[in-house]
Amino acid sequence: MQVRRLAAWAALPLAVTLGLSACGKSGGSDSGSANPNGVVSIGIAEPKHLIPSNTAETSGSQVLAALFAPLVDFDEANKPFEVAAQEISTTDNKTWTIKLKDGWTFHNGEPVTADSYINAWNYAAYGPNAQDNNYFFDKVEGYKDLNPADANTKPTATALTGLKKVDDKTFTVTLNAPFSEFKALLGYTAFYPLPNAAFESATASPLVLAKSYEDAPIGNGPFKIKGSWQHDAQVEVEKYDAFAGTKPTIGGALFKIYQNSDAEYADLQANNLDVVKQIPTASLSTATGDLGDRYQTSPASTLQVLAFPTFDKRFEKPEVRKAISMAIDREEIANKVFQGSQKAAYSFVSPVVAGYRDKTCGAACEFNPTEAKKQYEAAGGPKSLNITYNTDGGHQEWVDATCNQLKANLGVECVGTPEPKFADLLTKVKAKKDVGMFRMGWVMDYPSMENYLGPLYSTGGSSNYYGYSNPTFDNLLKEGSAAATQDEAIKKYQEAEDILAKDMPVLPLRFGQNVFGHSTNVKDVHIDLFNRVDLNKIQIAG
Amino acid sequence: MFRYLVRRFLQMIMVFIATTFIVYSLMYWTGGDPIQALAGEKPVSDLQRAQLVEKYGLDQPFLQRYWNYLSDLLQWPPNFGTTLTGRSINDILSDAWPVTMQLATIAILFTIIFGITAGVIAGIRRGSIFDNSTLVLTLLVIGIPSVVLAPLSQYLFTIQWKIFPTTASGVGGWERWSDPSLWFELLLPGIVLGSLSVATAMRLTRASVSENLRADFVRTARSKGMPGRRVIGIHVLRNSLIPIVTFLGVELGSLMAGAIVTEGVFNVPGVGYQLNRALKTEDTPLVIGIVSVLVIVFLVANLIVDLLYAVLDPRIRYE
Repeated sequence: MQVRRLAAWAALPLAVTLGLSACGKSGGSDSGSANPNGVVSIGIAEPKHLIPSNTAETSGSQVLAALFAPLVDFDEANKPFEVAAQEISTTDNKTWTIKLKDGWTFHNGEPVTADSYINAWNYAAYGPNAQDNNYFFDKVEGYKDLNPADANTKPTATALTGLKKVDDKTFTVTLNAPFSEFKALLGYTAFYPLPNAAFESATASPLVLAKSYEDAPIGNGPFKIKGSWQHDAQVEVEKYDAFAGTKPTIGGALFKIYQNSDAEYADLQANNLDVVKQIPTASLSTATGDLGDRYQTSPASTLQVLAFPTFDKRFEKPEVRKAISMAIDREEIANKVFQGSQKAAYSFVSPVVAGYRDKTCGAACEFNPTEAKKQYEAAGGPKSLNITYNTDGGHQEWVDATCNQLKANLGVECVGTPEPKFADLLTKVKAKKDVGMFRMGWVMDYPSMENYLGPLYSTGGSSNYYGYSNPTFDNLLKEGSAAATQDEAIKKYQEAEDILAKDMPVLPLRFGQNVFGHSTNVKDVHIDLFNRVDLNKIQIAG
Repeated sequence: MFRYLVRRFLQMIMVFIATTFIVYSLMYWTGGDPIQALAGEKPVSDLQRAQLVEKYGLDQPFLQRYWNYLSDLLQWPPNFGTTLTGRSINDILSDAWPVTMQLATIAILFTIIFGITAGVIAGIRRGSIFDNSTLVLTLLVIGIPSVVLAPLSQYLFTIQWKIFPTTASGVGGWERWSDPSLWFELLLPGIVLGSLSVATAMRLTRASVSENLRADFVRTARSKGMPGRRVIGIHVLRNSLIPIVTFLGVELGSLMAGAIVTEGVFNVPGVGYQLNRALKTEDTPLVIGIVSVLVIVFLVANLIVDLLYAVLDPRIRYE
């Protein structure tokens, strides 16, 4: 890559002039003004699956976002608003009534009904189907009967008792416990409906997905598939004329499949590809020169933290954890190691969710080496530190940089301890083996503060590997989930976040950034919360 | 000849079984946890794990699994099984092989046309300017690895001077052999791939030709008054081709193995591309499937090379 970068530098003046001349003759499509029938090409990787309940990665969900319309989408303030749903209401946060809009149809002409949702969700929640998004339904009543604790026994039920049809366009969802953020959950890929045609028989129990469905998924969205999914090559979608929602401003989209992100970026440079959602790290240093103002960034939902095994005697005291936090210069690492592709984090929740506040971590996250050393020594912090990380994710560089900062600012020994896989790291942490500090990353499941707090820090939370437990924190989360309005819920969650700032079970380090680029053929490119190109906003450049 | 072929064929079966066994056990012992690899950094639920373990027979003992795999493979048509994401490996292979063969064809033609021609000329005119300049040039090309050559030529020939398409697109498969647009897309990757063996082919040809020019039979032919063109065309070239054919045969085998780097850079959906992806996602069934076919390709390529010897040199006979 070294030479490639060199070559790119040498060619930089030329690339800029090329870019300028390209601006002069822009409007590559046949008409002079914005073309509502133009096709936009977007680079993706080969999707693992194209089934809503089995698609958890961004390439697949990008394609599904074109083929399906969600019940709710998110506005500028990241709050949910209804799309395919007419109204989503509840009185107790436990039983939710979902009323669908009239006149919506699937691409094969089938009307979208309450059954379309109930069937799709039952299929997703049925344990033996082994769907990646199965766990999204664990809050719905009856989930346990479909997913017995012993994996080798057959479930006692095939449908969620919490899903009840009221009439053709209305159904209710009953949850195990009140959950005020359920509406935000409904914006995720897992909650799309499926037509009867998706199943071998729509009345069977348990439901069996038709084998050929995945080749050409039928959805309820603004675009329908053109032809079928051409593995390792492309998926093409075109405008669905009978779409009842807001019509998109483009005629279709071509999702080109790349295995190698450098090849994808090369196609963007040659103006053969319209959008690259994530510019490869090796090209970041030259991307501004290559693309000019077509190089853009926006906040992403990922959060990188440095976690403490709080059960470990050495890290018991919050003062020790805070001192380590103050000894880390987050800005320097974000800019030098990540070249701005990640942003320094001073809060525990990501800026992409409603209720985010900057600098909730307070003084403990400000870089202050002298104060850090003083407090570290006063609290009797350990003489040597280590940070365990997984080697398959490109973490070594920043872990080493962090260690160097700790060495210089605290006067301690610090080394990075590599583990081959993240799973290996977690196995060791779970077994309470000596790992020292360790890296953790979090990608949001649904845009809510709760998703950054509950699974990570509540007592017995699904990803609480640090043994952190604070009853006040747990109570605040419960109160938030039972709150009558979203604003009240957010208030409770913010109080809970303030407790984290006091206890510091983890150190927030960096927020992810979408670092994307587009060609001269398109404008208004936005990447949404789930790292997908927003197909309702993108336009062909006039 | 017939007995020779039968013997070779039996040897091939032995080699095939031994190599697949080695690959299978290597992937088995070092492969880590394929289910966790499939899920990435997300936790895998116990139920999901149990489903996948049963589907892929991950709880069976090693020899049982290898035997199942081999018996699926040895039926007709062979069944390579499915990838961890549920795609048929037969489909993937039948899409990827034709593309790689197309790429290898371009590369090998490029090697023959440029490497051998230049080698013959340099061999005849030893010490000339042509000889010396090609010597330097080939040294240069041998020195640049494909990780550099491929992106560099992509940058120069497709982004800066828009002569070739930047990446190959679309699906593979036999039907695309008649599609001129795919041939054009594969031209630059093919040349990049071929240029690495051009240098070796040229040096080999040069050495072999210049050696044969001094051989007794050439002197005899010349003293009989045979015209120079006939001496070189019939006597020198034919005798010089033996080491080159060996080289090209082995080279063709490794070209078929798919150029992981070149196919990655140019997004060519061939065997190297699939192999790279399979390794990255730890898709054990796909890795083993691709390697099994590769073994066969190498064995067949070697057999053809050996048979060609007899054609080129009548002194060589197989009994």
